[in-house]
Amino acid sequence: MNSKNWTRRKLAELMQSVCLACAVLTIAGCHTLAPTGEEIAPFQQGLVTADQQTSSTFADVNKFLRQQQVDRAVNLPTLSEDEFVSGLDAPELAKWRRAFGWIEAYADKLQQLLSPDRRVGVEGELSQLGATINQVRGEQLPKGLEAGFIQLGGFLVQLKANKDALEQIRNADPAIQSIFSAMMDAIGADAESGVRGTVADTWGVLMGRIVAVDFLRATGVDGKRAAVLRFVAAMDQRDAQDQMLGALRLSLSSLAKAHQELAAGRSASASALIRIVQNEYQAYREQVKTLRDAGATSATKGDAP
Amino acid sequence: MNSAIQQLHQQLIQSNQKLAKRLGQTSDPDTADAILREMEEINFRVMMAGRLAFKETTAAIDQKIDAVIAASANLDQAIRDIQNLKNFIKSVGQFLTLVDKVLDTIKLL
Repeated sequence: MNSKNWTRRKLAELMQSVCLACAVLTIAGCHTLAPTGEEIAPFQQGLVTADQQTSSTFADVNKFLRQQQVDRAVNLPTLSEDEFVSGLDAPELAKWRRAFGWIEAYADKLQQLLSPDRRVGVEGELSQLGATINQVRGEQLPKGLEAGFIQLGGFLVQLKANKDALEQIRNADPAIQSIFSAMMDAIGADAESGVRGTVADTWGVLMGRIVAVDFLRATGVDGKRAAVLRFVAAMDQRDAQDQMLGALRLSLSSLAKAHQELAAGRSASASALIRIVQNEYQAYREQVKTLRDAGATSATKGDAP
Repeated sequence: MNSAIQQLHQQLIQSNQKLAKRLGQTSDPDTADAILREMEEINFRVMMAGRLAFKETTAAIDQKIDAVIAASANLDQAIRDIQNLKNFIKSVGQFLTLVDKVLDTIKLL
């Protein structure tokens, strides 16, 4: 073995060792790892689901509130537009959609940045550069050196992407927490606050109408029985609608916690939280079906949605 | 957050709950009708207060979204940085190819 070959081999071995040492040191130095692109995907899907759930839940709420104002208007001496209140105004709903849109766009960019394709792209260019260097020099570079060079380049790109992504997740986290918290406030913690409070109150009036108009003025047992059945159906529908709003609130809370987990580098628990969003949406769809079936079959006098 | 409008909203709801309880205890249809009219009027105001509270909360959401927009812009920059690195490596490669061709030409002279 001549001394030139021996030097090249040693240089290649040294380069490989340096690469490995860099990798080990950097990983050991990182207390928190950014999520991978695949781990961001469920969060993004959870956002889309919660966005859909919000739109359809609020559309149902608005329809219900509008219908229930008709009975009040019937007893007024005059009729004007002022006697009708839209439950949730269109400009406000547009702002909610805009907020979801921006958070979805942010998640999409995170996924793009953390995509393995970014690293592969740079490695490909480095590999071509290595081949070009070989041609220019007119002699072969030590194999280990070229491979180490490409690996180190790709690794550094991945490190930079991870660092940038984690930094932005942490920067955005306080705002994301505030946004979801405000959304949860708007929906209401129970049936006495927020949209849940308004909806529950309106159901209370609807049930009061069944008592005052249908039950107390019924002349026979059959009439009273029909009123009682309507009252019980209304109770069920009220509970189903409150559960739908509760499910939406839980979805938003899960999204907020999932983002917090991503910021802390705990991607696995973030994915588990996103499954809650999907389950809540499934439960929501079942409640919608229950409400629609109840609306279609209950013997109401046109009061229920 | 528990603003004055949210407190009013809650108070109105509690008032209606008391009226609903009274309605459930009366057997006189006329008294029931009178209570129901009151409940409808309070409910109208619950909807109005609820709408204002919703508007107030949405304004808070709108304020915070700027931080998410800023994070998105920074992510765009990070994506561009990597693209720029890729382009830089590519242009170095192209430059070296050019150098190689020049060297070949010189060899022929």
